[in-house]
Amino acid sequence: MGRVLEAQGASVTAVAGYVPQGRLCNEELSSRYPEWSAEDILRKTGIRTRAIAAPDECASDLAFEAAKKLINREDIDPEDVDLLIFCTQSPDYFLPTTSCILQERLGLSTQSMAFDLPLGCSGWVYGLSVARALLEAGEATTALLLTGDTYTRYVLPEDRNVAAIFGEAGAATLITKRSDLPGHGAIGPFVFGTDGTGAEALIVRGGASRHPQKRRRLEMDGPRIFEFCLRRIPGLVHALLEKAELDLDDVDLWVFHQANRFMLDRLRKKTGIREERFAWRLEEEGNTVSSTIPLTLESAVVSGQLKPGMRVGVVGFGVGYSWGAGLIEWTHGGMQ
Amino acid sequence: MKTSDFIERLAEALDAESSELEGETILDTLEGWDSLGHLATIAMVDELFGKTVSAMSLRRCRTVAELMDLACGEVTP
Repeated sequence: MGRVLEAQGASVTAVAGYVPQGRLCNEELSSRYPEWSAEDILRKTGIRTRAIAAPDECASDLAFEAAKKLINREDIDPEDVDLLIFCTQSPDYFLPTTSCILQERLGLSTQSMAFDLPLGCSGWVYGLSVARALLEAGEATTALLLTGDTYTRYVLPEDRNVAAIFGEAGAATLITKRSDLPGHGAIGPFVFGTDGTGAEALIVRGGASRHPQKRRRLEMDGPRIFEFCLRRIPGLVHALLEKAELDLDDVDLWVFHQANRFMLDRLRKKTGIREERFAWRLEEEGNTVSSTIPLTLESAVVSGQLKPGMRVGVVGFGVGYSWGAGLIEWTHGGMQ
Repeated sequence: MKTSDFIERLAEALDAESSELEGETILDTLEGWDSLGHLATIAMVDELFGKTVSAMSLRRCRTVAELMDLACGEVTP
């Protein structure tokens, strides 16, 4: 008979990001699109440079580096990880699923459960909820939630609106059972939503089964996505607070998906979140899709904005449309 | 809202000179009336009138006056 695991709480124990070396700066964008000055791009997007993976660096490599950093820093035995979730929309292959390749590369146990979660900007919140559910159901004890995307491979030179927004990075989040910290480190509740009428607002049509002959091109209707965000996200945050029976001020820090500064400023104000309780990490790396929330959490820990004992609200939204929000009691302290 | 105030705010959103804008100005002739300009206009209308206009209805506007109708038209006092 196998191990019988008691159902207990799950907790976010550590987070680590990996940012590739390449950079696309506003000056370079401005030379490609002379009608835009570098200052205009910064003012309108809040982004100064975008992190770009090397041509031979895949999303899995970004996630692998982040995972390695986390495993080394937290001194984890990879054999103890029994759940691996890799959130990506730019997998290495159609099949097998990239998480199987990462299981081997990271030296995780062959007893571990590994699967991909092909969501975008909402993906980290979904992954966290799935990891928590599996841990609390007793199906696993130690989860590694990895994110990584290389969206710029899908960007065509003529599409300046997407070229100006997206960057590339990976992140790793460790979620463990919390038997030793009763009442602290809880994950949840969550609120989720989906609206497939927005499928065409952010889409890569070509290369997969529906349009195999079409080229892969990232098409984005920014104003439509913004309209969706304004309609959905303030209500999502308030639905989450209602579910948790909390007020806005009971949440110490909000980490939204870092889409672009302009959009987030408006969403923050509309939701009623105070400026000092809103975390940012956009300027140097751009919108790194499913990695923005863990990267921002990492920065907030390093800067001291996020401290153990705080309650964090995480809000992911975008491609799909897909959205989700959740709460985390933060326990994770210093980082080297 | 007075037309001149609306034009002032629209000019800010689109990086245009308010003196260049009037009701009959064709939006497509403005350099700032691109994807980011649409975004800025949606944000401006949301802030001023508490109303989210759809990207599609925004694109249907031909002139500044039509845009102002869209933004102010259904405002409840």
